[in-house]
Amino acid sequence: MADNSELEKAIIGDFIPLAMIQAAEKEYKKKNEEGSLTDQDRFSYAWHLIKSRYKDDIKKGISIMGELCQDGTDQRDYLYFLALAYYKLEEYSEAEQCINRVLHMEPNNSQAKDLKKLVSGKIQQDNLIAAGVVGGAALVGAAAVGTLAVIGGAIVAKLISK
Amino acid sequence: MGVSPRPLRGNLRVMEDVSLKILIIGDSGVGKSSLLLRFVNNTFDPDQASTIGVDFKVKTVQLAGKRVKLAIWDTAGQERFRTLTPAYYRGAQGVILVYDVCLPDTFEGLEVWLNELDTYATKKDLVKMLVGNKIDKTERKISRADGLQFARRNSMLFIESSAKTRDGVQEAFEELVQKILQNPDLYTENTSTVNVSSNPSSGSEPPSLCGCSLV
Repeated sequence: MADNSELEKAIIGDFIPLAMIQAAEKEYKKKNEEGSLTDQDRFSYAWHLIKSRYKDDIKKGISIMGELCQDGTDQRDYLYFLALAYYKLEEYSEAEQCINRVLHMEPNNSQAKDLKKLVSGKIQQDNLIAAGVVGGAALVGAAAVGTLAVIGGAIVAKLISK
Repeated sequence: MGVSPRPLRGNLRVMEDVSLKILIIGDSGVGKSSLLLRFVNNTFDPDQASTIGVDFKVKTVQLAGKRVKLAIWDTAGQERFRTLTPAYYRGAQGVILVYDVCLPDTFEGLEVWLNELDTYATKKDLVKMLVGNKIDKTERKISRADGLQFARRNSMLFIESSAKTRDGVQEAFEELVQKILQNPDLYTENTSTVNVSSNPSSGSEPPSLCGCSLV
């Protein structure tokens, strides 16, 4: 499997300091109370949240960015950051759906291709682990059946010999 | 050949490692990403997609007897990212400010970018390189003299370039790095932490008090 650690550090590891997220939140709430919230304000706040270290922030970011996404404009940017957010939450199939939509719009976008590479790597890893678990379970099952058969055989043999 | 590898190893051992954070800023469509990709990969895509937020590339160069690891942050010029990209200015030792020699608007917008740098860059003596890009085009509107004058007035280095033809690209990055290396105050204090500080979080994150789950 390709080593994506450098790429992951660059794309996923750029966390925004807490103070900046708090400042963005303050601004967002203020505008919300004034009733002057624009899509740009929503985008800015969601972006800060998605770049956070904290999962609760990222979830909140997904919900705001997701609402923006339904408006239809600037889908590419929204979808990219949604993909990034889902990746950070380890929800890789959602991440894949979003990044595929970006690549559908811009097949040669290198940032999208990089993120897709990370997502695919994780999905592949998860599949291998799942296969390992299923394979392992099958092995345990087979062993159990085998043991039962031996015990059963022994009992039958004992009965016959009597 | 009879050349012992030993002296070479000796040289490598004494070569100083330096990590630098470089920013690329400027209006949308002036060729920031194209300059970076020409410098890092020696490629050029005439249909380069506009950058989403910020892109990041690493390149190691050997200059002035040092091995210099460049962490280059290529920011989106689009309006919607204008309030977000300053998050990446912190800790930068060098900045490449780009305009398009065919688009006067991108030249006139330079003052705004310089103001943003003054506001958000944490290293006040960071080195600035002004780059007039797209000199391969015939419909140039900003003369070399105008570019040079602006650069002088604002204590910036200056070069004209074409990411398409490679003209001036290598020079733009290398002259910037050379200039940074002349000012050890800019990079020596945190050579060991630049890797971390190339990220906006700069390692100064307070510990979580809420027990929130971390990524």
